[in-house]
Amino acid sequence: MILTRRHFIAGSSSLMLAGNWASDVVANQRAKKNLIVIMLRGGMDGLTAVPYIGNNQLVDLRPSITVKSAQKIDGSFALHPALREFKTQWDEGTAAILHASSIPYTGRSHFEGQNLMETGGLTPYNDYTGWLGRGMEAAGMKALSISLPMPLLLRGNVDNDNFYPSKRPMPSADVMALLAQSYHGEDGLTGAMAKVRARPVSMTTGGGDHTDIESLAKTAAKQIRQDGGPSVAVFDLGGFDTHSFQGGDNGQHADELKKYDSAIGALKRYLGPAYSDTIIVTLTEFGRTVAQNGGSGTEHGYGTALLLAGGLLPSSRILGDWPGLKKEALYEGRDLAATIDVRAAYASVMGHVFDQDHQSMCRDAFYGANLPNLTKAIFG
Amino acid sequence: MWDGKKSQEGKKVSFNGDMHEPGSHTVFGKVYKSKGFNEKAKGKNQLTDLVEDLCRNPICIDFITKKLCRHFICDQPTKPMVDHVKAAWKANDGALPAIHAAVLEAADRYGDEHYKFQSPEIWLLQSARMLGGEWPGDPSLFKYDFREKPTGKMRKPARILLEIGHSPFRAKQPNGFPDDMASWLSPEYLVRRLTLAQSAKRIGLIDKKRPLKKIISAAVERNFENSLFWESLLEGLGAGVDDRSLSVAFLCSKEVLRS
Repeated sequence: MILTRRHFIAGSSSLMLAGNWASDVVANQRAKKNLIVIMLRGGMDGLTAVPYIGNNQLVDLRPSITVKSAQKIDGSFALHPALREFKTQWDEGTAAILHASSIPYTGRSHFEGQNLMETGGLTPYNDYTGWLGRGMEAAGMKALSISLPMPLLLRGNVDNDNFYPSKRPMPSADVMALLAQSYHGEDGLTGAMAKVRARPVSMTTGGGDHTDIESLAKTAAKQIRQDGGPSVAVFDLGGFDTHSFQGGDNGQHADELKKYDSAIGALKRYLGPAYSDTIIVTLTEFGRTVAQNGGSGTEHGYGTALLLAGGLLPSSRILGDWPGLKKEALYEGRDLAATIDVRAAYASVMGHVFDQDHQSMCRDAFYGANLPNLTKAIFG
Repeated sequence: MWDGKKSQEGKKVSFNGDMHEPGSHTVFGKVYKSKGFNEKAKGKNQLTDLVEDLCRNPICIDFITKKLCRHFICDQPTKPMVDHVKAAWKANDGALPAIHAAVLEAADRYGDEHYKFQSPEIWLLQSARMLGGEWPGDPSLFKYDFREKPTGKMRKPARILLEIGHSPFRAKQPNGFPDDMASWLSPEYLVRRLTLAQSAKRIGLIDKKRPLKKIISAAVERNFENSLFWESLLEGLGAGVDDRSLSVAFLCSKEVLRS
């Protein structure tokens, strides 16, 4: 697998920021590094988020859902206008894209795909833990999920917490203490109760609105910044399954991309200086068909784009081998081909953030899969 | 029970040939031929043959007995409990009442050491039954007129179930609702149960006509072999305890949260 660095921002502002980043690292060599995963359920269309503009192939295949106002980032690719924050970060040298990538799943079931994107395995419903949870457990990390259930992605790690605002008031501290004491001997309940009782009052009374991504990101950022706070956070966004009226510049897919974009914007804002030590990656089950369907939407596909953002990236870049959009280059004649197993990027990102080598992450998190090491390509 | 034509209750079992893919099918290496596609039968015999074989297939028996033990007894069923159910299956040639009786026997035999964390729906229904609540409410409330939107009261049970993580109209497909504790016990799910238990009276899980302390004492006596856990919690709560704290302490005690 040859990785080509297609773009390197050389503007004066980005160089200045890169310089600042380097000096911060020198000043604080042991700063905690953070990994944030944003799950994009439904099948995020990599060709809507990062359209290919090298020729008219995509426009011809998608006449009514073309992204007309995409912002060019190099001779071949552009960014959807909804990704305003991502574009800003791209210009600042802290964003990257691994295009034509996917988990190794070529079926087209959301259920199977989402199970595999979280377990990191090859057989649906075979595993009860997630790749991130296993990687964290091996490295001894702490996580916070911004969701009601504990996502499969994080299971396998012992030190997991989650947050999802509730409007009902909590019982009194005395009753909580009494119950905590009575849970003695019940590991699951004891652990969950200890997490709940340790929360700051601001998280347990009112707690904000769970539909407001900005407020969720704020809470997550606050937790990550705390001394001894989590190093990993997971967000769960849905709605990318746009079989009809997908839209181009605006519409359903654009709205979902906007939510992702707001999340990375808010995280950057509220993490403050800690953003320099953070990387945010996306996770989706598959991409979507290259050609639009009769309902101005797209069907379940294969290859998609991984979006990476955060101060841990030394410069903005597009990674991956672009397979092209000619009929013969498409997977089964209809989908963008995936030229790299995206788990390689996750293993390398985990290795870098958790201070583990790539091989041990492949072993501990991905069942010993032989995945190419992308550490230099992403962070070098 | 299905003899190929009728269910155990004697009801006719229908076969929708239009939903059946014609041609031969291979399951566990055995080929089930359609015996010449015929408009009337459309593969009906294939299905009966397959069900007969699956009922006696050791892999199928192992799969289903484990699932039953996981659902009713604990997340990680042990070999003795699964073997007990398997033995009943084999001795009764897959008769469902005998299999279910064996599951209950196994639950009784191994239940002291192995138990489950209650799924949200079971916990909620069990809470209402123990505390005499009228849940989900008077049946007359649910007389739907499909020309109108359901009222807030009609939607209340679904809303409350959603809040504790069980989406009644959107079971996660294709595996349905999860059966293991990891799926139902996160700090936030515990928060939901704590806060809901605190509002139990207001949302109708508790009989409002009788004193709550008495209701709980009766429920403990009726449903638990040992009442020490509740006596100890009551002592911890102190004399002037209010009903909200009482309902939280009882409904979120580990004895009620697990089966």
